[in-house]
Amino acid sequence: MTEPNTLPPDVHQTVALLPWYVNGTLSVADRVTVSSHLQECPSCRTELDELVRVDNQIKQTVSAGPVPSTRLAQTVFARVRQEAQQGQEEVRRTSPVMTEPSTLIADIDRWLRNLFVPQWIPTLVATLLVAQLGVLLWTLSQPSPPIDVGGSVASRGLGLPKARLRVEFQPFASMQQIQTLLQDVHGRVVDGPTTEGAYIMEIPASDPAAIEQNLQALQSRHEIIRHVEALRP
Amino acid sequence: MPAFEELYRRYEKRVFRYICTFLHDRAAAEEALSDTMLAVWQGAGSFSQTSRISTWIFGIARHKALDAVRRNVRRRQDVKLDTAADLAHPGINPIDQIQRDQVAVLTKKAIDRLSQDHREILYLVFYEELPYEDIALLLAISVNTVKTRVFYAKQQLKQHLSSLQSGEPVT
Repeated sequence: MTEPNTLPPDVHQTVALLPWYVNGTLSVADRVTVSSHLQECPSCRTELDELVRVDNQIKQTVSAGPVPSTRLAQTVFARVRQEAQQGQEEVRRTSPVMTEPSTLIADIDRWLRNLFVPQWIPTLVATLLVAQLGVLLWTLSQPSPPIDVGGSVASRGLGLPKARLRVEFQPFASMQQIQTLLQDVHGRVVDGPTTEGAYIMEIPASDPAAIEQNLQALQSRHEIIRHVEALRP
Repeated sequence: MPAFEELYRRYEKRVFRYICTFLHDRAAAEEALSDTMLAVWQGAGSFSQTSRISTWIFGIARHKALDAVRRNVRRRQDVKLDTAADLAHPGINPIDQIQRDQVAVLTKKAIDRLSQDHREILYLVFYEELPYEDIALLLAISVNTVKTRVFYAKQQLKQHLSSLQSGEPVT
């Protein structure tokens, strides 16, 4: 293109903004500036009239132009289905448990439902409560052991500390991508989906710096994760 | 799949019309549209959400259309698109219809005479109604170049329309 990168000297600079004054995308400040200039400048008003005509002509001409055939849509959908199927077979080969990449949310949802629905949960909870009560009573009835000041200190933790994250996966993320991601951060999905389609993920968290590091690593995986945030303990 | 189908339905005409600013061959334009939509499906995960989804899709369409232009230049296949302006519009007074058709044919001819860059930028400003920042991002040019290009594109269009109206017969 050999045209100059500036407007001709006899043309007001406001003219450069007029096309966007016409298409309605100027900022409020620019719009006010252009409006007040137009009130005082007949040549810019003429330019504006011409641009409005061009706007109408282009809209009419383009709208009257051809549109893609409906057959094309069916061809594209068929190719996408074929690709999705190939992806599904790939996942089946690499992971026999998870089956369909496109139904990740449905799979996790089904898995969680199966976990919570069974009737044996109340019985199990009652049994555990009785057992805990029994152990507590037995412990209280025993004399206290002497304190071993010189012995080594053992960890009293109930396992590695974990952080909970709220995660929204990309709708196009495949099951395989998510599985790999979970393996990378040694995480697992423990709850969800919420009404917004989010899941609760648990990751090991030795200290706040490690949580932040893992969180940043997850935030950088835009192709799989749409949004992730740490939940307060 | 339903999400993709919805996205396809929402963008197919817009993307096709944008591609038509590069290609005058319907088959090539449809092929470029198909390639664009498949690339959208395959690359959905890489969409960074730093730009609008329409800008991202138009960016892909632009690449596919330019690829097709390069292929077509080599093949020397340049079949003109059917102009729907030639079709009758039901429910409109025949005289109005003729006048509209004449204006549409003239405008179509004038637009066809523009350079590729001018045709594209007028489409993006007036049909797609994109802000100049988005156009600069899509075309990878400065905002200043966007503004001056529209100015000269409009001047060219005005010149072509005026020469068509004064001299050349409308066929």
